[in-house]
This record gives sequence, structure tokens and C-alpha cells, in this order.
Amino acid sequence: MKGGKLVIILPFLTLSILWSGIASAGCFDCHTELEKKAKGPGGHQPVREGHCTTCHNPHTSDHPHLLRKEPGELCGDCHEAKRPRFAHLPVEQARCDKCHDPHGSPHPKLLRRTVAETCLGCHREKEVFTGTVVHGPVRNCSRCHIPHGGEYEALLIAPREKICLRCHKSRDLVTAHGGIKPRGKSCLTCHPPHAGEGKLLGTVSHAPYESKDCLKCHQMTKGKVGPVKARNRSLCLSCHGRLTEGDHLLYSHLQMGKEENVCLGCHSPHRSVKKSLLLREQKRICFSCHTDIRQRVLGMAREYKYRHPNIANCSECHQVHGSNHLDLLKDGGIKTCGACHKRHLNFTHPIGQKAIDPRNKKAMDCTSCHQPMGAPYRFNAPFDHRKDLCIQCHQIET
Amino acid sequence: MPSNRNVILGIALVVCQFIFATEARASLELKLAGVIYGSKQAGGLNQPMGGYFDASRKRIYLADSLNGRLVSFDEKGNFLAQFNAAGKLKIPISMVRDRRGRVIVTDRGLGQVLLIDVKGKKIEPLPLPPDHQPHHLALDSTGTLYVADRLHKGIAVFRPQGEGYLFVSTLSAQGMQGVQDVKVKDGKVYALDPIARAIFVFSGERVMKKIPLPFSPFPVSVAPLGRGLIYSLDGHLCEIFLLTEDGKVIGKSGSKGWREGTFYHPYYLFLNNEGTLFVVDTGNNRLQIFRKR
Repeated sequence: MKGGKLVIILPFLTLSILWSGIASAGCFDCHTELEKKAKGPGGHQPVREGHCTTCHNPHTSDHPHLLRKEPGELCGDCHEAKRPRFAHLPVEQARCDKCHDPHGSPHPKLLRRTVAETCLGCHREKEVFTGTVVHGPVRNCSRCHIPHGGEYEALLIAPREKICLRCHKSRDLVTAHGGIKPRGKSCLTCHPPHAGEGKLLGTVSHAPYESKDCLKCHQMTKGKVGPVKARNRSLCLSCHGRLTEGDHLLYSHLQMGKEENVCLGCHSPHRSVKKSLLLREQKRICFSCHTDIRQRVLGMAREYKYRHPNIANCSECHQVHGSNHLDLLKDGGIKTCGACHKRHLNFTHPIGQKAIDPRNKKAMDCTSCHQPMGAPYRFNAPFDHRKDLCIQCHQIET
Repeated sequence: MPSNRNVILGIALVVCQFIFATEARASLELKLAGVIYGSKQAGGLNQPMGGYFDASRKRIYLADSLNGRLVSFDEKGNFLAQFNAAGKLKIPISMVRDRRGRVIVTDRGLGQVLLIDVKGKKIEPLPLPPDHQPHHLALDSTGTLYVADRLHKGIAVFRPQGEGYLFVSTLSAQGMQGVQDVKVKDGKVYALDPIARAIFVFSGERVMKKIPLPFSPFPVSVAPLGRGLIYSLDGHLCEIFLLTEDGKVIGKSGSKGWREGTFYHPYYLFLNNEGTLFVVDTGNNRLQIFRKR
């Protein structure tokens, strides 16, 4: 009986082993450049061994490059990886191919280019190196960052407040700060980690810091600059009082933040490389709380396939401190969109007070049919524009 | 005499039925019972942010925020009255009615909590501690007033004293990052923190538990149903979750949209004594009323 089963299985086994060889031989007949890569020293093992069909279907596929599955899913079949708490964007997007060449590479770990070149391919040099003084270890990104992600934000190998202390002794830091122990949560509040101006400081200064008027915000203790005069936002509002106007708007951001002084959730009190003394790129600050919007805007939420292109800063459309408009929009759904989409102000489906949406009896605006932060259908529409979107309101009588 | 096999099969069927029946009870199926857009007399609503059900008078009140007024309706949704304190209300976002019939309103435009004696035509701001930023309000059965304070990441507690209210303490707990909504049920205070994405449950001055809401990216409101069940509302997902006090989601309902029964930037939940659920659908300028099927 056992021998009978073996007789049936053996021919299939032999054929399948032979097929892989035949398949690769067939593939390399045309894809000669891949053969060179695969047979070289950095060839990816399945390609080197001629198992092209492990990843590709030679006849047809729903995925690009005749892949058997989506790229990230496919890699995960062999390279089992635990999803880190803070993951690198391509990891979240399951786009391993953005950094790695799946066939082979002369660089380690199948990287398409050197480590620094790979990183700087997306993190553009002029955005990373924002000053004339470049931090020593910065050309080797993996000195501070884990490329796939880890337990700490910004893919750091240690918490933000401790990362610098791995190299810089705290004793030296006191000396460098005129004998005062820096009490800020992180050195990165004032020092951009990649490049800056003298002493690796940010290029944008808070006026009292620039004029060395420390006592504007700090108390004097035992002849030295001591703690801040107030731990909450009243410290900032003693000068920037005008901003409290935002408190009296329907949607206010001025009261929300993880820090005791809510202003410090977004702004540095001393120096920064960003305008308005922002702690980092504006989008990154907003995304640190609005994680669902981040997922949509960066294309990680598959159900939100279509999203507004070229959004440089959230403040292009949103009034970040406060607004009376939904979504903290600057000026309502028509004027905010119309600031860029000028043609559509005059040539569009009726909008405004004369066009009442039958679904909710509200005046229609752009957001009645478009969802700029991400939507499942073309033109950022919540429904298919060819029919479903229209029949939301225009009922067809049969 | 049934065989052993049949007995086992019978038991298995009964167990399956029980499991499915429990599952059906646990799921959240809401039936739309009414929608309030405003009225012909008073016009439509403009981004209402809060509401309140007055059990003694069986009235629904809405904070019609950008119209700067409070509006009241009967249980069937018929318009009764509107009130703007002779133009003194700017942007009301939350309201409750105390045992003496006075209306207590959080006005975002003024940055104050106002105690309004409608009959006596008297308006007084509550003595908030400095730089407090009041948000939603709740009253318990003893008349104690709870004010969610986003800026101080806690709940300001006021006790009735004489004609007014006296600030007595702030409820706060480790990990609180900005409380937006507060409700009271069965002697427990439920505080919703949208930044910490959690509901903090207090008993007296002490925090009893923190219920994390990892499934909800933008929680905006909480409504305890009693018997260990809580509704929470997500403003971005446009979903209402029914969860246990252990944080286990046992049902959810709702979706983003513009038609009745769907939500667009819903902002606030409240309940009446029968468990009817009121959803302030801010982005659609309406109140939607649901009953459990």
C-alpha cells in the first residue's frame, strides 16, 4: 500500500524539482541581466538557485512584475519579521523593494545602494542637513537609527531623551551649557541631530534666547538660570497672548497636548531648524497625534486609495491653532479648496447656499463629494463618481 | 432509547444555539428612531456640539454652537423653544439643567461656564480656577457638577453652595492628557481622554480603572449605559462602540456618510433613562436618535 502511494508521489516530486530548474533556465534566457545579478556574490538565494517561480508566476498575475502576491506579503513568506512599535514608512507600506533589490545587489543585505545613499534617496539631503555644521556620525545613519523600526520614535536605537547621551557624557554637557545642567526633555529640542549652525544649534531662535534674556522665562536660582517661571502655557501666553483668540473658537488646538505646557508639544522654546520654532517638520508633529490621518495620507490605509497629492504642510488648509470650521479648515470647504482649485469655483456642480444637500439639508461644499485626506474612489470621492456618488442625491425613478 | 451519539449531537446543538444567541445579544444593532435638524420656526442647526436629556421634563436640549443658542425639543423631536440669554451666549458647546431648574452652559466663545437662571433672568459665570478651559459638563444625583477641562487634563468638581457652585477639587490620574467628555452613572465618573485614547473611571476621588481605546483613533464622547457597559464614539471612524468596563468591544455600529443613519464628524453622545441613544452629528448639523433593536 505504502509503496503504491510512493509510486504516485515520486513522479510529481521529480517533475516539480525539475520544473524549477527548467523555469529559471527559461527565465534567464530573456532576463539575462538578472542572471548576472543572481549569480554574483550578492545574489538573493532563491534567484541564485533558479527558483524564480517562488516569487513569480510565469504566465499571469494580478500583481506587478507577475508576482504571486503583493511585494511585502511575498517577502514575509520567508523573512518573518515582527512588526516594530515604530516602523519605517516603507515597512508599514510593505514596500521592501524600496530599499532592497529582490534579485541581488553588491551591497550588503540586498540594499539597492549604500546605507547612506539608500536613506538619502528619500530623506533628501537639503532637508536633513539644514546647516553648515554636520554632526560627525550622521553619514552612517544606522549609528542612531534602526532602518526597519523599533521601540522608539524616529526609528531611534534609544529613547529621544537618551540617544545623545550614548556618546556625549552628561558631565561634558554641563560644562558646554555654562555650568547649567540642561533640564529639557531632549537635546533635540534645540540641537538638530544631523546638521545645524555653530554648536549644532538650530537656525531659528526664540527672541529672548537670541538676546540672552533668559530671565524672560526662567527664574534666577542661586545666581544661576533656574527653572521656568510657569510650567503651563501661561508662560508662553504672557507674550503671545494674542493666540488665546484660538481658545474662543469652536475647534481649538491650544488646549490639547501631551505636555503640561501644551505649546511645547509642537514648539521649541529656544532654537529650531524649522520656521515658527517647530520641533520638527510640521506634518510629523501633526501625525504624532493624528495617527489615522497619517495612515491615510501616507497610503498605508488600503481603503483610502485616493488622496490629495502634494500636501507639503497641514497648515496649507488647516488653521492649526483653532477654527470655527469643521476639520479646523482655514475658511470652510469652498474657500479653502478654492484657494488652489480656482477653476472649480466657477465651473462645478452647484455649491453654496443655493445648493442644499438633500442628505443632510446643509449647503453643499467641496467636502460633500470629495474627501481630501483620503477616499476609496477616484477624484477623492467617497463613492464611485460614475454612478454611486450621483445617486446619493439624484434618485433615479424607474 | 437515544444512542450516545444522538445525545452528544443534541447537547452540541443546544450549546451552539446558546453561543449564537449570546453573540446576537452582544452585537450592537441600532435602529434610527428620529432625526432633528432644527425647526421651521427656529431654522436649522449650525454645528451643534452638545446635548442633554432632561428626564424630569422629558425634553431634549441641544447646544446649537455656531448659532449661539440652546434649543429644546420634546421627546418626539418637536421644537419647543430657543434661548440665547439675550444675546449673551456666543458659542455654547455643552449644557445641563440642575435640580433648581437652572441651566449650566459651557460657552467656548466666552471661555466660561455660565449658571443661568432663566426665570430670574440672572447669568453668572462659575468661579473656575485660573486658565481653565471648560468642555463638556455632567451632573450627578447629588447635584455635584463635573466640568471636563482639556487644558488641565482633569475634571473640575463643583458642589452646590447657596445660590451658586463652589469649586472643590480636580479629578485627575496618571496618564491623563486632555479630558474632553465627562459622564456620571451609578456613582462613577467616566472621563474620556482623546489624546490618551482612554476612558478613566473614577469612584469618588480615586481612579478605579483606565479603559484603553486602541481601536478608536479619534474618540470624542462616552456614555455609560450601566451594568458594566459603555458606549464610546469615534469622530473620525464615525462609529459607536459598545464595550465592557474591561475594554472589550462587544459591538459597534455606524459609518461615515451624509444620509440619515450615518455620521459626519459626530461629536457627542448622550442617553435617556430608557437607554435611547442621542448622537450629536455635528458635521451633518443634526441630532440622530437611536434605539437598540
